[in-house]
Amino acid sequence: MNGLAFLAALALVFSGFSTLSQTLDRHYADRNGRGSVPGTAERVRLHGLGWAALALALAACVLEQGWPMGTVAWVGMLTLGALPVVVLLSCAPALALRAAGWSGALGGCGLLALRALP
Amino acid sequence: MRAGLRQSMAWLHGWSGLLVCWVLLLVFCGGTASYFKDEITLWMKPELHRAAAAPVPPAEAATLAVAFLQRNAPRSPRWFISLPDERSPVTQVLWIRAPGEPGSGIGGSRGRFESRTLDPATGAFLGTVRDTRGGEFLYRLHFDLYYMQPLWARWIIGACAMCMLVAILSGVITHRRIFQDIFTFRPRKGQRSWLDAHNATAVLALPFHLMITYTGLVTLMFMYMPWGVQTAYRGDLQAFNNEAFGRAPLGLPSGQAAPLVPVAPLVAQAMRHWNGAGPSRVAITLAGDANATVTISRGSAGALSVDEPSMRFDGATGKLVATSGDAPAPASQTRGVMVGLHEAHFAGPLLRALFFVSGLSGCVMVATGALLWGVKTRQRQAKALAAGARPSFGLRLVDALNIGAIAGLPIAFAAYFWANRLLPVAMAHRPDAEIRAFFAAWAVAAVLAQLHPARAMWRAQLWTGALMLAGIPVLNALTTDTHLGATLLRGQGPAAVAGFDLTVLALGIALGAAAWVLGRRTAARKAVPAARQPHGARDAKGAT
Repeated sequence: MNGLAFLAALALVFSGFSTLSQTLDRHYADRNGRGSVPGTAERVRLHGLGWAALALALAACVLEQGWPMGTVAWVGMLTLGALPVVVLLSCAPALALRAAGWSGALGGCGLLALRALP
Repeated sequence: MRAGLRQSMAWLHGWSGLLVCWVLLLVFCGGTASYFKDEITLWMKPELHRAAAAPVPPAEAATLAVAFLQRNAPRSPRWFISLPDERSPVTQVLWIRAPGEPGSGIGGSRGRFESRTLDPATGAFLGTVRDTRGGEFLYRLHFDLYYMQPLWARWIIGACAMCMLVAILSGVITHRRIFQDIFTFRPRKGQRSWLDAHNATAVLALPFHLMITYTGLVTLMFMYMPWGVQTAYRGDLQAFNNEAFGRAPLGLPSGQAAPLVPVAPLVAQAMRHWNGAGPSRVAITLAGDANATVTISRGSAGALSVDEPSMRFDGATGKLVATSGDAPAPASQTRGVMVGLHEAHFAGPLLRALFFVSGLSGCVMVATGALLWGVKTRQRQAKALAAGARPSFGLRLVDALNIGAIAGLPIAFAAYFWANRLLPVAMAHRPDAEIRAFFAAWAVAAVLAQLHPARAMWRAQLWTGALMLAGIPVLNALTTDTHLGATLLRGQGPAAVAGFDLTVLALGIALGAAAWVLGRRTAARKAVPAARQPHGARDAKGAT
């Protein structure tokens, strides 16, 4: 697995999990004030973005090393990418969602570069 | 009914975890280190750090190794040659001593086996390389333990792994908010924080934990559950091994001398058959006899399964006798993939790092689980403890074992690496001395913990472990040329050595952070005019 694919997948997993964390009442309330819950449309949007990022991470792993090895790498990525989400949500919840946007964009660019580069 | 099920599962989870957690911690630490077994071995042999120059073609390395064995072990019934690859730059030869032949006394002599490390380019014995068991010791430790029969050890490990599997499944059932709390960590909340840390490290790496425990049992399944094979093959295990793994039966010598054919053309033929994939091992039986065989195995790198395709040749004529593993049967393939997933030989450096992180997360899961039991029990005894009573026998024992295992094991690992650099290079029985350093350091930590299981002991041992681990890169810089300055800044020496230095440094810093946080808590607690807190009754860790 080359470094670019690794970083792209990791950024996408981090982005996906940070986004998905906002569908959970506790973490949504941490950012938007006590007692607030995401509306239905917001929830659907967060779920869609989050799962899409995780799926793109799977794509990055599988494109890079095929289905058997790619799936194994993806599951490992899920663990490695989720750990910083836990840390960030507990010490700087506002930062988590901002970082999710950036890392998602960077991961997407990385994925495109993987396809574009020979 | 649901609450009842959850409660009984919580009970099961607590006890199946507690009874085996200290052994499991050893298994997890040793197993996690084993993902970088070859890299650890390379780090522990600094004389080889320069040898990683130009790669030698496998056919040439094999020819030179055979020449070495013909000179040094002509009467041995079996030779094994491990060819150099990206992870290990040297040729390793191993042979079984001929009956009646005494051991050489050189370090690579264990039981009936002799082993030597060879320069792949010249085939010469690298006698100046320090003798060490390197990562192999940590690998064996995680299922064979030490100071006991491997057979007994494997039964013990099997029982512990089974308890682990029970603990994982009951833990998942008893965790009521597994999805809602998946990212939750609430620091500075005592028992709640420990539970969060335990849940996070367990749930986020759950696929890994389930896989590693189940496949760990699968690696030894023919020992734990031999009945199927015994019935189907009527007790003929040799026949089973031949059929299932394509292992060459050890034929009897014919008594007729016949020179061994050159191996280079055989290696070339095997590589053509595998579309250019290089061989990883060559096994030769009865060299010099008319019944000699040469078995060449492909490396498993690049395929999930651990079963390596192999080709067997007649050693006297060079004719191909059999190929195996090209199209394995489904059951055999299933087992191969499971064992392969456990060992991760297929993984490149980054994927290997993912396995390593998941393994570390397993270590933290086991450690926090063990601590939780103490924290909970202490809370139940809080009233009595506040009134000046001593902690119960069980609580004191668990606290002491926790210190000895959680804070003591890093000390033992570090002592092993320190001994590797500090013992004289030419010392006799050097590998044994290194291993003694591991167990001596651990024993001291464990005994001290039993004598005084208190917060101060936690801090002392965590600091010791932190300084010893973080000191390893410094020690490496003082004793070799391939220190971090050279490997990182000037790009000299193998990357694996830099990786090792950085990893132990990071682990040392993590332990130091734990010790520092613990110290701050103790200070904060002393600053508060607390109720009477008799010596030794302060909680072991974290129940603040």
